[in-house]
Amino acid sequence: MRIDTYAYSNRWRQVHPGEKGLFTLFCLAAALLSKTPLVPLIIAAAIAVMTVMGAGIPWREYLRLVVLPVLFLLWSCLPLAVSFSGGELPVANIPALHLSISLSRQGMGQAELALARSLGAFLSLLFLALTTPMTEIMGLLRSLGTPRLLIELMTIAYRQIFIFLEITRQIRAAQEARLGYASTRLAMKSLAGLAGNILLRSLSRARQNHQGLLARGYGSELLFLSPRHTWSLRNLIGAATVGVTLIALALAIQP
Amino acid sequence: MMPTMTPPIIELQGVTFTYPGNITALDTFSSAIARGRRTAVLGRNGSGKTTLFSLLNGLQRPEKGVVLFDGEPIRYDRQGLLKLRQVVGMVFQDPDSQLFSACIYEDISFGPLNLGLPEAEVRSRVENALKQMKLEGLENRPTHSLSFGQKKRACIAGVLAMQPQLLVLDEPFAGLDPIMAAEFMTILDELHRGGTSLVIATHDLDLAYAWADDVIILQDGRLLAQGAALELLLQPLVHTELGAAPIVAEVSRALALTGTGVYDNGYLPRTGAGLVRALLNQSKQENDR
Repeated sequence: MRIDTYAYSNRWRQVHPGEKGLFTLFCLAAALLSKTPLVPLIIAAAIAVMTVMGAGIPWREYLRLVVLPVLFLLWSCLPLAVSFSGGELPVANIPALHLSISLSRQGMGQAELALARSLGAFLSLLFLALTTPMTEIMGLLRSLGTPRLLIELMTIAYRQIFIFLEITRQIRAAQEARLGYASTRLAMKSLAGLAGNILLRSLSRARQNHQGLLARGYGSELLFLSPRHTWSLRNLIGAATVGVTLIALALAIQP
Repeated sequence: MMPTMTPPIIELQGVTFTYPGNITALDTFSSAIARGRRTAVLGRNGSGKTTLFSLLNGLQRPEKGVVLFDGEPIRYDRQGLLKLRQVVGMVFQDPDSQLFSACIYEDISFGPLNLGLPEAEVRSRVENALKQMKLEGLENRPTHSLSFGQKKRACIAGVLAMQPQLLVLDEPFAGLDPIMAAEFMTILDELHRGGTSLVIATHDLDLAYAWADDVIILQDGRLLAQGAALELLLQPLVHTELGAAPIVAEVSRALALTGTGVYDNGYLPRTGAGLVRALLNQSKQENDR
């Protein structure tokens, strides 16, 4: 939800989503194509600086958003470095199980590369998510020819998430006001009631929404136009130059 | 003043509608809505107002009887319904059930696109509707961050972009604070001056008395009474059914009993403010004498 708020209020909100999308795509490609950890790390650093200094996302909030996925990345890259079949750097030896744990140079290299690539890719996508509202990303996907059904589903799902959260909040508040969560047993019971109620409310809401669409002449397609944005030649050239350079670097630098 | 003098924009003849489980919502109901006028539909909860509204927009089909638009029976095929829904715009009570997109610009473009209009025309209509509903600058904010009143205006913008001749609003003032309600009233009056016929459902008798030209009063799915608001809303029969009376009407009646005839000079105050003004005028005249 915090991401959503920033997407609507950051300094680069009015920049054409296509420009931001193009830039993200270039960075993503460069980070994933790179054969050394260097280029993805440069991308990660550069895009973090852009997100904080450029788009004006407060750095504390940015760190808070980044820290969890990065920890997750670290943990998942660790097994790549660890070897059970004789790496160069022994870590532990358990004779009872005939098991020797060690780090292999090759594995460490792989782990570093995977970590750097994922970090670069993750921060690139986060940049897009933090600077571009969901509806504009969907508009972008639409103009790139994403299947209609997918866009329709995304549009409705995105709007409904917030209605769903609001309904949940209301029911939960009503339960809490009557001590519905006073004990673990009561909490379980209230939670079940909450889930059941949400289902019923969602069904009736779906019916109402359908009526709402029909009343405005809904046929079989959810037709709508996105607001226009103006392209900035300067941004486009900038994004393309930086992007192409990064991809070239990624391809050129060999391990 | 009688609605029969102008040809009705929409007319229901002997309409019966039953919901599953044999719940009769409307029972051989006949009524007509006059073109270019402001009509208030009154009735207790469950008297059939919402069903009546969904019949006006073709969301429901009568079991018996016919609905006529401009004297022609409504056709319920795809083309007929599309035509009906262009001329009869429906604004629901809960804006969340109408706004499907998190971007109100996209939402407003939905109706006109369904009419098959070209993109340039749709964009100009969207921009006009945003301007008309005083939503400029909000088209870049997500729907879930808008206030209730703003969402309500967005709903109306979405309907206005289809350029309807008749606008049907279900409880348009419910949930609005007095200031927003007054703003909303101004918007409705502008639409009315622009030639749009308006129908609202309301429980607010003062509002109906002050605003409406005609009233339709429902009782258990039947038509209790229909006529000019200023006459009908003064009748005790109506007060008994609805459980209230317009306060201006009550005060005027009480004053008449004490011999103070506010209506003597043919002036009918419709609002509290109007009544106070009339009383002040009268006491000034008496003092002058």
